Amino acid sequence: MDIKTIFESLSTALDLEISLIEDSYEIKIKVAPEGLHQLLARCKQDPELAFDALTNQTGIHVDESIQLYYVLYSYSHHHELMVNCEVPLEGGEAPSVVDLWPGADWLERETYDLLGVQFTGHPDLKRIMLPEDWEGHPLRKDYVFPESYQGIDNRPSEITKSFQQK
Amino acid sequence: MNNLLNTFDSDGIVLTTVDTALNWTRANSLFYMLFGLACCGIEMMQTGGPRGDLDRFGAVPRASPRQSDLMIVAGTVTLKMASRVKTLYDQMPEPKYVISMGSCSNTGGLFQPGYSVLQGVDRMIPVDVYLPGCPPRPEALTAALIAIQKKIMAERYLRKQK
Repeated sequence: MDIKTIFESLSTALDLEISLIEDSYEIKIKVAPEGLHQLLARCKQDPELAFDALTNQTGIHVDESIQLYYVLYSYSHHHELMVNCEVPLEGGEAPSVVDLWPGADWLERETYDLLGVQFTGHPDLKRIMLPEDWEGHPLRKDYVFPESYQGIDNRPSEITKSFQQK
Repeated sequence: MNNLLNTFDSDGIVLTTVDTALNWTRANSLFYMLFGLACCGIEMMQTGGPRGDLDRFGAVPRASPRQSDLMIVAGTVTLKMASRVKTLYDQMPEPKYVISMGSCSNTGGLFQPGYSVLQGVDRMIPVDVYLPGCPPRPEALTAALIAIQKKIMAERYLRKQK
C-alpha cells in the first residue's frame, strides 16, 4: 500500500485531525499529540496496515517546537510509514507507545535524554546515555555546553582556543 | 649489558647496582591494564596480538587494575567515564604509569567540541607518555611502551622513597 492509500484508510477509520505533509523529504502523516497513540494503535492493529515494527523513533528541535518522528514498517505487507507529531519545547508531552512496541522503550528514553520530551505512560523514563545528574538536554538548539562536571574543569585549554576560529 | 651478548672466557661475575637490577626487572615485566574505550582499543589489541607482540617486551595484559602497573588509556574519555578512569587508576598499586593513547585521550581529539567529552585525560590522572595519532599504529604504541621502559630504567626507585 502506498502512503496516500494508508492516509485515506486512516482518516476514514479514525475521528482525528490528521494531515499529509508533502515536502522535499519523505511523505509523512502529521497528528496532534492527543491523537498520536490512537493513530499508532490503529496502524498496528488494522490487519490491512499491520505495522508490526517500530523502526525508529526520534525528534528534532525546530524553532519553538520539537518534531517527533515515528518510522513504522510492516513485515507482512512490506510498506513503510512516517508519522510526525509536534510538541511544544517547554513541557512537551507525548503518549508512550511502549505498550504497542516494546522496542520503543529505549528510543523514547533517548528522546527524553537528549530533547527533554516527557512520554506519559512510559514504565521507566530516565536518562539512557548521559549520567543521571546531567543538567539540560544537549540536542536542543539553545543548549549551553557545561564548563565543569562533578568538579572536573572541562573548559578548553589555551592551546585549543588558539586553534578555534574567532 | 653488552657483556651479556659476548661470551665470557670463564665463569664471570657481573657487577651492577641494586637500583639497576630492580629497574631491569620492573621495566621488563610491565603488566598493562586492558582499557580500550574506543577505536584505539582495537589498535591496542593488534599490538598485543601476534603481529605487534607486546609480550616480547614483557608486557602482559591484565584484566584487573589491582594486578597492573601500566594503564593504557585507549580512546575517548567522556565526562561520564572520567570518574571511572580515576577510580581504576586509584586501584592500581604503586609504582604506576599511564600512556595516553591517541588524540582523543590526549586532548579530546576529533570529539573535542562535543558537550560530553573530557578535554584530555590529564585532567583526571597524571600521564607519563602522550602518544599522538588517530589511532596510533601498533608500532607507535610499542615505541610508547619502550619510552616507559626507558623512564623506569632512569628512575632511582629505592632512593625515591623518603
